[in-house]
Amino acid sequence: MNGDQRFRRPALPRSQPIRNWSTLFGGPAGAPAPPGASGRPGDASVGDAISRSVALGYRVVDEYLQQGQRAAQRLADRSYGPANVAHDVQDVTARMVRYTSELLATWVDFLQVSGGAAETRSTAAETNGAPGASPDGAAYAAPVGQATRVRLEVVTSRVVTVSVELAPEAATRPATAHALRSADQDKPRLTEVSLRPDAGGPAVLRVCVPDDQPAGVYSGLVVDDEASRLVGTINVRIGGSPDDERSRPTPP
Amino acid sequence: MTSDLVPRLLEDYGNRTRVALCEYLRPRAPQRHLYNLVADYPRRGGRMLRPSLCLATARAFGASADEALTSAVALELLHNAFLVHDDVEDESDERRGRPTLHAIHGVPVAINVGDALVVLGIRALTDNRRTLGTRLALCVLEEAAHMACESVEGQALELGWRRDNALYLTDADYLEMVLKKTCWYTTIFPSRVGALIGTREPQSLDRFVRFGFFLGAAFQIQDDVLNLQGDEARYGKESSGDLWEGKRTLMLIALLRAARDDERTRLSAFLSLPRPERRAADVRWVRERMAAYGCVDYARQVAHALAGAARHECTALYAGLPRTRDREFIEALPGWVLARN
Amino acid sequence: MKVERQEGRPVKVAIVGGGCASMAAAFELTRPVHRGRYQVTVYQLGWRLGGKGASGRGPAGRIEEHGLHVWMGWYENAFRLVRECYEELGRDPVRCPIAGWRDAFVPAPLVGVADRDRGGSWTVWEQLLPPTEGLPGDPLPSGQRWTMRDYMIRTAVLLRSLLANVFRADPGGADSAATENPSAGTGGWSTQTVLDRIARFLRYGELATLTGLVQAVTVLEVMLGGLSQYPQNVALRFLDAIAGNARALIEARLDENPELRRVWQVLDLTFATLRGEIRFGVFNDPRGFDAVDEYDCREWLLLNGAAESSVSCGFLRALYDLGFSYEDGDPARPRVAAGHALRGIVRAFFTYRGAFFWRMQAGMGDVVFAPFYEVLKRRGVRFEFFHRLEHVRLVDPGRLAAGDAPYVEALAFDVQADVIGGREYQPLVDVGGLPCWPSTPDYRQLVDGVRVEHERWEFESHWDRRRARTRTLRVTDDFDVVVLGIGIGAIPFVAGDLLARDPRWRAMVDHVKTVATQAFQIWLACDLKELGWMSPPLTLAGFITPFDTWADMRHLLPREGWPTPPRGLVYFCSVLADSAASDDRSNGSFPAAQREEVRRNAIRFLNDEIVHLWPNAGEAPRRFRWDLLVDPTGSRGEDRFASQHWSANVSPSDRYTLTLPGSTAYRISPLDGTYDNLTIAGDWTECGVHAGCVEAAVMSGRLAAHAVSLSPPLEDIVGYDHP
Repeated sequence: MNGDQRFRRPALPRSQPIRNWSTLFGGPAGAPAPPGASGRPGDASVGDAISRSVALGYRVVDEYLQQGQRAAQRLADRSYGPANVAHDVQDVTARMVRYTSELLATWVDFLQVSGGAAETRSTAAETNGAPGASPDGAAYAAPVGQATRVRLEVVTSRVVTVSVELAPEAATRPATAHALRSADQDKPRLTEVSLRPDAGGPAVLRVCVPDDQPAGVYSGLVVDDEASRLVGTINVRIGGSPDDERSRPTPP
Repeated sequence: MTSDLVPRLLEDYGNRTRVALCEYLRPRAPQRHLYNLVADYPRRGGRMLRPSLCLATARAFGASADEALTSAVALELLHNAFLVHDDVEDESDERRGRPTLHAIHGVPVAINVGDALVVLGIRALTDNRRTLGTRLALCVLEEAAHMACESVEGQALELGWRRDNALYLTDADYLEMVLKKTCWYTTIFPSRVGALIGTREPQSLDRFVRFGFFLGAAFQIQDDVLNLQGDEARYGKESSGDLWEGKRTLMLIALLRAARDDERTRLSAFLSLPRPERRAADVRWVRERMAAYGCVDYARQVAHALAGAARHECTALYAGLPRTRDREFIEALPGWVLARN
Repeated sequence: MKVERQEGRPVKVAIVGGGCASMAAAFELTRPVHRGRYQVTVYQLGWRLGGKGASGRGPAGRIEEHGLHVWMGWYENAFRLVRECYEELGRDPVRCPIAGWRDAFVPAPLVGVADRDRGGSWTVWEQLLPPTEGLPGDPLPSGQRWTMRDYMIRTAVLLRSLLANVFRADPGGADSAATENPSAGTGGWSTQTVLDRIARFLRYGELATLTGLVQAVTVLEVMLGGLSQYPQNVALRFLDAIAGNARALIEARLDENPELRRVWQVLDLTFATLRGEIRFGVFNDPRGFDAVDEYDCREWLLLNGAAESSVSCGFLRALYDLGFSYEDGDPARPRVAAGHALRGIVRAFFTYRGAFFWRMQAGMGDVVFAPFYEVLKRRGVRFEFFHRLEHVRLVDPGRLAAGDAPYVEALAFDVQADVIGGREYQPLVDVGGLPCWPSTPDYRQLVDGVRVEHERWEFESHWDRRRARTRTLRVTDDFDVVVLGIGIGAIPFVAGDLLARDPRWRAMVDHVKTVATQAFQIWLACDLKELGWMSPPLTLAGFITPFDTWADMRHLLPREGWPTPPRGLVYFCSVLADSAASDDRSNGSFPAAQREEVRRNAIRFLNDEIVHLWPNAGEAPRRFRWDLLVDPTGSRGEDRFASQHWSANVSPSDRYTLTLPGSTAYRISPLDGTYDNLTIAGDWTECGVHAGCVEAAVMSGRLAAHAVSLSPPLEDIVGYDHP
């Protein structure tokens, strides 16, 4: 069989539908003519090589992307909190004071609460911007309608506002609430903060604010003991006046 | 479209990156065997395509150059780390007009220097926390980890071919290797990170993979073509470093495909020799065979085709963005990749 | 190095498969303009063309179909080809009851959606979709381009008319003037004007009135005309404000008019669609609707704020039913790619011509495939029946020269039966003056025909591998180029080389899935009116599974050959769930077992469910009035069903093509040039419309013809270049 005489399909000027005319590139031809190619003008083999190369290129990259998507789906969601948070709690906490608004929050405000049960509910996030299918987007969305129950005990004689955000795991798994720090290095830390599981009831989050604690905003992290993951934040505002170093506006 | 836009921006962004890079290359102890050498490759210059693409993409998406600068520096550090190690692995003699690091200082020292560059790159990436915030810095770090993984895998493919003396490779194999080894850190990662910083949203970044792949592949293939042909014009002598290394370029793959059986046997013998034993006469013969079968022209056509596809993908990708100088720069890159020498 | 084919020697085209796609490809390649350059041979298994659209004639000349085939008014390519075919056919209207295409296709504008209310009883929402200008297949104005922008504007117009209709009976009649011509004076508004207007709406509560709402939608229309100039959050806020106020106004009226709930559901889905098109940037995306194909349609609508109740309304359920969109045939798993669903909806509702549905006046084989067969034969196409493709053999890659593409070297067929005397098989029979396909082959024409009939060879069954001999066709000797027009279900069994060497084909076969379907037809001694079904004939979907879709087909009775015609004829169909045995080629009892299951399903359905829609059809609770069925054998009770017609469409090639989320990216186009003498055709390919329907198949066939001959030009394939 002589390969030269075998019929071959013609080279096609276009092989894809045009779905959006406003982004159409180039003229009806598609791939631009190669400058300096040694092929004679009108030499169909040059066109062949070009369109085959482009098709081959698309094939390789599309295959690659599909493999990547499959692999990504198989892996668990990428976690927001890195494994090394617990090691660098101090550093991160200071920044957290500035960046608290980046986290989802259901803010529960209490005034002079002692004992009593508090119920925190994580609400569904509104995904704005580009809600692509990538797992990155999952960092913002919290499960809808789940209730995380904790009992909040605040021991103080000052006027305080306590805000808590907890992932569901915090209430059920061993977690440590780190001391609350202020952005101002001079102010002492709030060390009497603890999260204890309570058999037969919701976990107990206890915050003690000494009488002589300077006014300001104090923030701290709740870190899962086993996975060293960030599972919550605690924010305490002491004093009547709103603090200037409070959260940045929520990004759109 | 101004024809010197690309060189101008490359120089501009390149200089900014170099200045920031110097902060990480400050001499400390031990100097003689480490930090002086660490600064060697970065100081030798280079086109700075990668950091420029990163900065330009970030700006095209609305960020400032400063926000992306640290990531660009990190990339350049990692790039130089790869170069140092690649030169060792490929047993190359020359890099950017001067002897390779391991040729001067020996392989053990060179490997360590490469490691140090990686460490500096990681440090730069963690420094992103200050400018970008923790969340975004983590995303960039994850991107970098992914990119490094792909580069390593790509290099493994290529090394494997050389080690096993692979003779029956296809264009698809080559493109897959280039995608992983070169495109990820040359074009895909800078674009993705630039977009990430610019929009501050982790979003579907897959669309940059296609654009980056076509651009990077065209870039690499054209590089390989110039390696064979450019030297004559510039140095007045044939250098053909890739041929001496037995690097599986698109041209070599095409030659292996087209050759007659007796020619392929001779090629196979040539490729299976260790580098010091290869002779100039054989290298000349390979060049001549490539010319006879039109392999170089074929590779050039493929590079053109891929550049055209890159331009198409680029237009689709950046369509919604305002027409800025940076967007024009990016759109001009496919053309520049082909036209440079 | 490429040598052009010498003048004078025609290019031999082997088209495998005889469905819509293959017929379209053959029709295109043999157009007079090609001047005989392409010598086409169609290879078809069994005795009849049609593939999934094949139909036969049974006892009393009754029509026996695979299921329910509806044509829609947006099938521009399919209608164009069918009309040209009838034109060329030139049948004599005196002798043939279906001579012109208007005899073959009749508008069917009445559609029904079944819904279950809170009390558990079923109601049917009937809609008459108004006829539109022109007829499908008419030439379109040149340079016609469909854009997302136009669709979004039309969606806004639809919103406006839905709102206006809701309040038509509103006591505040003074408002109606405003709804008549609300867009007067909006031409030439600048972006800033629009933004100011939007701000005013949002600030001053104007949206609380009908007039305000309608005017706001007009402004919305203007905004959608230039969407990229507006900040996304402004557009969304405006849309949300309109939606919220519309909902409040409708809810206030729900007590007096519960019908409004349905209207609200459609409105809600429309708002969600617009919201999603903005948020996901679909209007701007070079991929058009494909951009959201990763999502399931319902999931996407929910993501964009549609209420749970809107998303489970009958209207949407009916859409899923019409597309058999249930993964693995499991009614608990409705899934369809959102982008494809949107595209289908906008094409179906916004671009239909003539009528929304068109129904055929005889079996699809009679109305479509027999005419094509006759016209193609006249044009010189050869038909080889009883040829089943077994293997597509690719050339060994080691033999390829540098830069050469791989190609098909040979086609291996099983010849199921030979025709006596080596003559050409004559497949058609006459029923009432109309050339038709029979339900069984004409054994008298076949070698060993008596034995084949006696042993009941199932030529169309995947599980019956009996054959007379084999036959291998070779490239250049017997064919130059191959058009593979078989169903994707069959691909894994015949394209082993392709799957082994080409990861894209493997991926396509993994992701582009099919579903089995079941159907039955009953002939009734009674008019449906007597059974309590008062509506005129319509097509209904959204009913209970199985058999969620059914149609009143009494218009076909005159075309059959009954000595005393029955008074009613109804077709039912739905998906059929997969079982573990679906793929096992060696399990010869599988098709019979499935057929038996369909029979039981049908009987149970008639006993238990149909009474909800036909109140007088039951003689006792859970007992159908079996004597309603026309049964010449005179059986009793449910045994009367045995004389009706039912089918389990389980052969891989007969399975219906699905468009699952995330699957469209894996389709391969007929224009794909990897193999330089092979192209593909079928509704499973990347043909612009990713739907399991006649239009997609015809488009793919035209694309395949383009791949071989560069004709028809792509711009000529209506709807290919489309968002």
